[in-house]
Amino acid sequence: MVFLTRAQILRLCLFCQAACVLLRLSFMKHGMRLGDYLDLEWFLEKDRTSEPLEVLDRDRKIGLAATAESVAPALHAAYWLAFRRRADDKGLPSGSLRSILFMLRLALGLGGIVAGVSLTRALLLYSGVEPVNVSVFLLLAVFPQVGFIIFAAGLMAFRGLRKIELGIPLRPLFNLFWSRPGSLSPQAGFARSLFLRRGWPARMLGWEGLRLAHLGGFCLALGSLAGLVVSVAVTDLAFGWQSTLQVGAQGMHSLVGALSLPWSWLPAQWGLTPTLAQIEGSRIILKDGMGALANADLVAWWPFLCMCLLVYALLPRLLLLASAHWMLRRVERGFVHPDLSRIVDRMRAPLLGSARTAEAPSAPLPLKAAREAPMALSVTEPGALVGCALLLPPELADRIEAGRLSELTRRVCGYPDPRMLPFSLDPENVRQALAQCSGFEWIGGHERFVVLVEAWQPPIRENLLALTLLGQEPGRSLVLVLCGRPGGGNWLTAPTAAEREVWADAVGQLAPLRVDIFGADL
Amino acid sequence: MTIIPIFAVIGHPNEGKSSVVATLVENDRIRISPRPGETVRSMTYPVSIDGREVIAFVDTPGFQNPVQTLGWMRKFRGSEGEALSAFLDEFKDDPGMAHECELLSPVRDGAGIIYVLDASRPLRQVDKAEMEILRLTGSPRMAILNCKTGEEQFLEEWKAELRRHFNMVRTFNALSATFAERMRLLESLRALEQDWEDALGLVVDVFARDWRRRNAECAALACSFLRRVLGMSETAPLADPGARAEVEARLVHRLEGAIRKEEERLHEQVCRQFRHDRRSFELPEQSVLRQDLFSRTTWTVFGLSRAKLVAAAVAAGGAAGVALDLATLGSSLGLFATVGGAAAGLAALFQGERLVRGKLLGLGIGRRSVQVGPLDTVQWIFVLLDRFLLHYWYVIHWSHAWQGGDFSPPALDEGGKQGFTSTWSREMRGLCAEFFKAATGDDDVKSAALEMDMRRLLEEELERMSRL
Repeated sequence: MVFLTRAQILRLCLFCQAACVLLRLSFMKHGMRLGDYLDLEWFLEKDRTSEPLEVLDRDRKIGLAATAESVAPALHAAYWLAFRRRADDKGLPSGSLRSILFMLRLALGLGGIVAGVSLTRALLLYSGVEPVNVSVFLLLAVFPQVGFIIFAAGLMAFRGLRKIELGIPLRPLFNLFWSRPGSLSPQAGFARSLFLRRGWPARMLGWEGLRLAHLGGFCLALGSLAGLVVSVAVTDLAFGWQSTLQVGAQGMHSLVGALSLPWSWLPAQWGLTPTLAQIEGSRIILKDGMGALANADLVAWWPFLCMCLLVYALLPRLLLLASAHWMLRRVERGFVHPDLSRIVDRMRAPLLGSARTAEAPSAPLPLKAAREAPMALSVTEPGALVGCALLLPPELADRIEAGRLSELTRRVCGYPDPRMLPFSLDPENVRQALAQCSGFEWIGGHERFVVLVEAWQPPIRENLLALTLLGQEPGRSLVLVLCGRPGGGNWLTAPTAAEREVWADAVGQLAPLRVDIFGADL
Repeated sequence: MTIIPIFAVIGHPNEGKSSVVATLVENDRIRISPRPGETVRSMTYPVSIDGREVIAFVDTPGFQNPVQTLGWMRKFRGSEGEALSAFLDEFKDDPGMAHECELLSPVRDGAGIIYVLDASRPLRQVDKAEMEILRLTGSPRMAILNCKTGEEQFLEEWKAELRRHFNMVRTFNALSATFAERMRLLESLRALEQDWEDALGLVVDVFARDWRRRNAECAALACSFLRRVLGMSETAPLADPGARAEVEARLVHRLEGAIRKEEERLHEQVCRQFRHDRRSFELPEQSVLRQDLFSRTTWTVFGLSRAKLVAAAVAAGGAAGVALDLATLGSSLGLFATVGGAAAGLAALFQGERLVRGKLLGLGIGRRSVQVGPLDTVQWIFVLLDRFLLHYWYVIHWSHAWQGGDFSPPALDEGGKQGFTSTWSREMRGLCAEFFKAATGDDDVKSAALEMDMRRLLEEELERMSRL
């Protein structure tokens, strides 16, 4: 006994699944059918409310699976549909359509057969008194069907040639059968709404409806024929003809000859057409009664009637049924859903992805303005009295007039003519600046530093460390002057509100260090 | 395991690093803040093809201690190649140097460098320090000049300095970068390191194909929208003939609402095709798209001028007549085409500039019911298309890094019309008019055939707009 491992069973299952898909696809090679298009619309409708990226991802996976299973490119759309059907286990519009069509076919088929049998049985009532009238049989069982067939064929030829939609009054029909559309399943409701739109669904349904009608007609003819054959086989029947008009047997023979033209080429000994003698012998004259009529003549008519039903009712209906079927297939084949190309494109295009994760919320800047030990200013230089010192970026030192800078310091700390310190705002440079200032004699013995900062540069940790270093000495005042982006040759422009806010917040972290902040646009 | 190209996007705080990454990987969720220092951790954003990561961009925090870092590296006595690792080892536990460690770690691990700077400001000592640090790493590096304010006064000064430190310098504004500019940037990254050429080439190809696919999806969405809207109608029973005006007004209001809703849905779908978060996408303040679809301004700005409208209608009417002429095997000597074209032209002439509210909608009165719609003026299709195209234009120029402000399409037309359709060729406008006629009429077969032509037309137009 052979035992399969779990992996082997899994592989076998996968193989069977793939084989099933390929088998289904091979059946779909001729193209998509009405049910397929309904399902396609159903899935597309679902996709319309889905996230495009999810749709893209799913379709690409289906495309890769198709490639892995070596599905021909021409069958990719069909593969997509088969895949979606497998994944959707909640019922599909095609299932609803199939159920409804099955019920209709059953009803029309059985109804047609029952109606046909009933019709012939009613016409073949014979109690031994009066033979079945052949003319009445032809008039009621054959000619009406012929009339309907001619009408249907004409309609079909007209519609087929002009290639226009079959104008079936769908809304009243639907309203008749589904007076409360809300009670339908979502799938059936979707199919209903799709058919009520103009366009390919209604057109295909029109041909499907015609096919159903011809199926009913075919079954009616079949039932009529079967009823006749069975009645002949199991009951005693006698056929005759009568007329008030003086047509004579010759006239009737001519009519019969004309009707039997289609099968006149068959051997005469088969008795498919009554002879002149048989016609003469089966004429009913009521005043003479039927006692004088020969039995052989009275039963000579049934093969003729069978052939009439076969040739004028059953076969044309079969032909029309086949034509409606062919027309439906032609419409289905001729229709290319405009979204199929989009689906195939999504299946074949490599899926481009990027991380969709959001960035983690950031914490405030980890700025720890570490206090540094007070500097021992070793260098002592003699100099004049200094009101204030202006620390400014080296790039600005030569670009701003001294007068403007003097005015600036006068305004912010009350002392014009500052000592210029062109140093960057980082600890290393600030140390150098402080070293340079160590010999200054400050007015009133109070050190005043004004720092000009280009506020469009965001404050970084080095800036804040430098400010700490500069302001940590007791008795030293520190003023920060913010200037904005240079414009039109002016380097002392006003900072924006956002820049002011950013710097104020950053300097606020240096508390208890006190720093006064001004804008350069004083 | 294949090593994929990784690019660390590095720079001074608030220079637009996150914006560059957001634009390159099309991620709206990357935190972009006008406040500096919001990025405190390096975040890797990979780009994958069919689930396989092919390249990655690392968004890093900005430099906080460039002078100190440079000073340490200059003082380092070991070999140049070991400086970076030694630096990271020494400062890994120093919270003050956390940002430097974060931003330099990917570089130590082999990432290429994209140095982002705002070239609309002057060059400073601190920038030179940062450039020197990056030069000392010895990694392949490119500088991106991201002119945040559009000021180009300092551009040359920057370029001169950057050329001394970087293998390549490119201008790239993350906030207004078009698809073509993004592709050019990725193309240039290929030249940075030979080993990365294949991966980047693949990414560029897939990006381009993906963009074409999005355009095709948008064209399909637009056609489907047009078909739905142009065939829309509203009907209501009319019990009292005297109340006809009131019922009509109610129906017009309902129809307008339905059309607005459809258009809103279309715009949302287009946004999602381009991976924009609908909540973050906003139209510019003074965009004419903010005007209601049925407002007089919309109908003044969009659509075709009267002359062009008539020409389009004539072309569409003529096309229908040609079919009849062909049916007569030419024996009509083009009479149907001439008469059809003239009739359609006259209709457009008189309907073309109708007011929108109420009068524009077709009103057909049944015995016991009132119907409003389908739309009966050919100008509709051009107005709807113009609004779609302008919205598309905003969407593709709406950077994933964009955080507000304004941007406008170039002035498009002579004669007051600003829609894209007014610049189209006569044949294109004729096709639109023909599609309008089929979509509002009963010829469903023709409508389906024309829809395919319309899709192709729109796909080509969207491609053209992508390259603008």
